[in-house]
Amino acid sequence: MIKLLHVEDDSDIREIALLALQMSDTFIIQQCEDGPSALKCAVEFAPDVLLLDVMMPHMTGPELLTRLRQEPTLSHVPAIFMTARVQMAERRALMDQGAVAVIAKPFDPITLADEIKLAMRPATA
Amino acid sequence: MQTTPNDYAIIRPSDADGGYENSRSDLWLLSALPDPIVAFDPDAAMIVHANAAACRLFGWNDAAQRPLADLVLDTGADTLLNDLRRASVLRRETHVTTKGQLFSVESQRCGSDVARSMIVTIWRGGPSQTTLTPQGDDFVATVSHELRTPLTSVKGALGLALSGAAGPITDKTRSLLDIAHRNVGRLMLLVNDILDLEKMSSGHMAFDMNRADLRDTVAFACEANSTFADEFGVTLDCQIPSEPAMVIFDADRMHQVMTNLISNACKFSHPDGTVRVKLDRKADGAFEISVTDHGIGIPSKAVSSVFDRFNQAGSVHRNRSGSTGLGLAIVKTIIEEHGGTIALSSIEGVGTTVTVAIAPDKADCINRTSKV
Repeated sequence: MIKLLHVEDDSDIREIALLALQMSDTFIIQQCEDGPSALKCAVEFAPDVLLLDVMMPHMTGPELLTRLRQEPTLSHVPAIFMTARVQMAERRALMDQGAVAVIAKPFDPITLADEIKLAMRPATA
Repeated sequence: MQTTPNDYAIIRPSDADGGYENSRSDLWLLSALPDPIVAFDPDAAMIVHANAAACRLFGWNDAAQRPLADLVLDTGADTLLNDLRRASVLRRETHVTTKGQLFSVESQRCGSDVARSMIVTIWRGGPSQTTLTPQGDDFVATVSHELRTPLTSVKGALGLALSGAAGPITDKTRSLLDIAHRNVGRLMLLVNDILDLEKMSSGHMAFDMNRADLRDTVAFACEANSTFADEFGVTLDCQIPSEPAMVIFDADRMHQVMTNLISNACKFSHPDGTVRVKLDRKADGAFEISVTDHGIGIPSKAVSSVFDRFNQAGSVHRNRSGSTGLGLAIVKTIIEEHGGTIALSSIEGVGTTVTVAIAPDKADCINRTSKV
């Protein structure tokens, strides 16, 4: 099973992502509504992959990733951003932050689990 | 109305005394113009006239005989005067006021006799056209986020329901959910297109111009759209020359153009049809990309408006094709930002060809932000 930490401020999107990922039976999912709460639970949860929204109040996804990277146990966990801003320049900027993939919103709930597993492949290979 | 400072031969050196005399009718005309206009005597470094729009912009009650220093430009008065020693020079600069209003300022020396000429500055932009507020660049991003977030939920929920994740559904329910799912996808495209147009018209769309081989972009676009073509039973015939096609362009934006043109051609083709995508070099050296379908075509009276936003030609087929009616307007803007041209020819019932021409290596358009 893959332990996935999902950080997303919109509760509806959290619920849809949860339902979508549960369909695949391969994820243990921990969800947080913002960066500060994710920082509190991340070390204990010890995720195998991070799924982070980009535009969130209090702390953006990239800011959260920078903070998470400071934890030795989380410094190499593959991170995937989800964003509605999907221009190539923005995608590149997010990849430069150390993400292994950027998933565009609206995402396809049917293929979300596969997209995440595919994105993790280079990092786990 | 596009004007240059030379269009305003308003305040002239008097032949009699070397001073400045104003024509009342000309001044009335100046006052009626919406763009702020300021004229000053370069030798005395004094402002001799400002129209009503300029007085409002600078908060002046009376502009006459103010020192040139009151006309705050990002470059100093000395630089301005030095640049405009010759009458033929038209100086352009961008100026941001303390209120965050963005202006394009054009300055030029007017008058055939340099010794008795004056300098006229015209200020374009401002609050009615472009405002560079601290939030300005974030506006599109914020709207984008606020619109897409609920759409993500709706599309995701419908997708899950259709997949049976929430339990079995009847055929009638599936049919209704299909309609909702299809239309939320269409709404999403519309939001994306409107945001693109907003970015372009507000000057916030960045173009990442680099010298590259146009063949790669065209070939990649054909490959990326082959699955889409399959859905319509259409074959893509991609014709790429063997010689390199080096052009300065934004590869992502050009891919967007190609995707739009190819998808349009597929949507309006007959099943089992072929869409030809051809890159070629014209006699004048420009590179030409043409996308040709043999589909339903466009009525002749509608051809002239195909690049308009929400054009009528598209509206007939919008429901069927899922088009937003904005794609070709965006494509045209992108191509024009590259210094290129786009043309469409069509015969109803026979097919349509869209042709894009881009000149090679236009070095003056590297890395800039759009302004339309």
